[in-house]
Formats: sequence, structure tokens, C-alpha cells
Amino acid sequence: MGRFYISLALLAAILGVCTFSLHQYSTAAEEMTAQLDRIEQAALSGEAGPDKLSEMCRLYGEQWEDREERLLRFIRHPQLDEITSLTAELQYLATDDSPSHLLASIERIKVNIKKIGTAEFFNG
Amino acid sequence: MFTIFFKTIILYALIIVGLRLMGKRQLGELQPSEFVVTILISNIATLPIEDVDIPLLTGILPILTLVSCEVIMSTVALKSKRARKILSGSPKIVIRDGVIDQRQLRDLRFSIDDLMEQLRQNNVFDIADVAFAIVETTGKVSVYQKFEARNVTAEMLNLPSDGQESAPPVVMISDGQLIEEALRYCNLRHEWLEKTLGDQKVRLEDIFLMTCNRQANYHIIKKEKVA
Repeated sequence: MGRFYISLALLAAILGVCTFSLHQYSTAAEEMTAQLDRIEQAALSGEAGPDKLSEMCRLYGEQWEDREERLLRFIRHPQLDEITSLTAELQYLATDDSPSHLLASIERIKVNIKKIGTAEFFNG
Repeated sequence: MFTIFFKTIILYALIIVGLRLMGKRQLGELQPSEFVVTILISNIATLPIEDVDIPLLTGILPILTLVSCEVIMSTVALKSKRARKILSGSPKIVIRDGVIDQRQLRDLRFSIDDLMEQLRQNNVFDIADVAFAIVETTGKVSVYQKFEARNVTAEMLNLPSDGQESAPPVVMISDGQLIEEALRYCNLRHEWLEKTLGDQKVRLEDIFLMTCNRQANYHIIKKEKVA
């Protein structure tokens, strides 16, 4: 019966790890999406100038780097790489006269975040 | 490259631990579920090794999950006959008194060639010699031969017992190393061993294999000299 209890404990630990990773992803996704929404709002309303927008994107990029390190442990790298490459562009797209490219990249990042959630946590 | 190296070491250790957790049954006769788990584990383990973009946890979690589920299911099967039947099926008799149950063979999708091969592996070459042949849940065939076809036993010939019937020989020295449990099992002491090796003019380090039983009947194989 020792093995039986060890297996039960292992399953419990695995469920704990899965729950933790889901929590990590959910928190990161929420924060990132909120930040992206703020940048989007600022770009659409025209309140923030290119410098301010660029600064917001740069801060977002730095925070993404931190989150990515944690997420790499349980999410496949190509999906995160896609977000990283899009994030790297944001700071420079923010200095464009027209915000359309910036908004397009932001939307693509949001779609990728959603895709990760569906692929890694909610689907087969 | 180091990533691949460390992932391989970790997954290798994990598979060993997993197989040990599943127990000796896993390494012997495999039930259908155990066979599936073994195949799955071997396939899953290669994924993080082959592709550095796949996190190590993606290999570790499914392996541990499969191992845990297998142990839990086999424990449930141990306690419940019904669960055993659902998971592993039940043995089927395919030959009774030399007569093949063809319907049973069809149900099992067991061809006559398969059956004959299994009989031959049980040293049976004539179906007429078979009292019962049972296809076990692992797919192997167990054979109970008719009395007249069975090997002769000492009991049949009314031979007296030589006192060794319940005490098989054990390995006492393996590759120059003495196994203390074997000495205790045979109720022998170090002094006896030293005297025996002295009589045989051989040193402990020079012995490849020594077996002994409780009647102090021993057999020594010396190490071959390396040229």
C-alpha cells in the first residue's frame, strides 16, 4: 500500500503544479492584457505622445521579460517566442505617426496570449 | 547541448524511479494497461529530449501521472475482482481434454498457429496430451497436461526425499564479494567458508561464483585469468 499512497501523493502534487502553473499564466495574462489595453487606449485617444507611448511599451517589454522567464518552465517556447518578438517591436512602432501598426501588433499579442491559454490549459 | 544532456539524465532517472514505483510486475508479465503505459512513457520521455523548445515539465508531468495512475489502478484491481475483470479481462480456457474450443479462439482472435506456437513453448507437441490450455490475461498460454503426458516426479516413483526439497542453493560469493545473507541463510559461519576456500586452494577475490545450499553442498566457479 506504500506505493499506492506515494502515487496518490504524486497525483496531488501534480495537480498542485498544474494549478500553480494555471495561476501563473492567468495572473500574467491578466496583467499583460490590462497593460496592453492601457497602451491601446493611450494610442487611440491621442492623449499620450509618441515618447510617452514608447516609454509605456518599453516598460511593458521589461515586465514581459520577467514573466517570460517564469512561463518558460511550463509553456512551449515557440508560443512565447512569438509574443517576445512582437513585444520587441512595440517600442519602435509607438514612435510612428500612425498608430495602426502599433495597434495591430498589440492585437496580435493579445490573440497569442489567448491561444496559449487555450492550447496549454483548456484544451487537449 | 547541456540542456539536452541534463534533460536526458533527469528523464532517465525519472523513468527508473517510475518503473521501480510500478513494481516488479511491470518488468515481468505485462497486463494490457501496463503495456500501454510502458509504451507511452517511452514515447513521452523522448519529446523534451528531442526538442529543446519543449519544457522539461512537459515530460515529467505526464510520466509521473501515468505511473501514479497505473499504481492506483493496479491497487484497485488488487482489491476488487470486478475491477480486475474490467481492466485485465479474465483467463479463457481454449482446450479441454484435447478438444479445441474454436469459438473461444475466434473471440480471442487467436489463430491456430499462435496456439500451436504457445503449446510448443510449453513443451507440448501433441494437442491430445493437453487436459487444459488457458489463455491468460497477458496473452500467454498455460498448459495442464493429461496425467499420462506429464513429466515423472519423484513422488510418482515413490522416491525418498533427500532433504533438499525446500532449500534451493543460493549465491554466496558473486564476483569476489561475499554475500552475508547467503551465509546466514545456509546456517554457515565464516570459519566454514575460510576452511572450504582453503581446502579448495582458492581466495575469495578469485571466485567468480559460489553457490551453496543448507546442506553445505557448494559449487565454485573461479574467475578466468585475463590474458
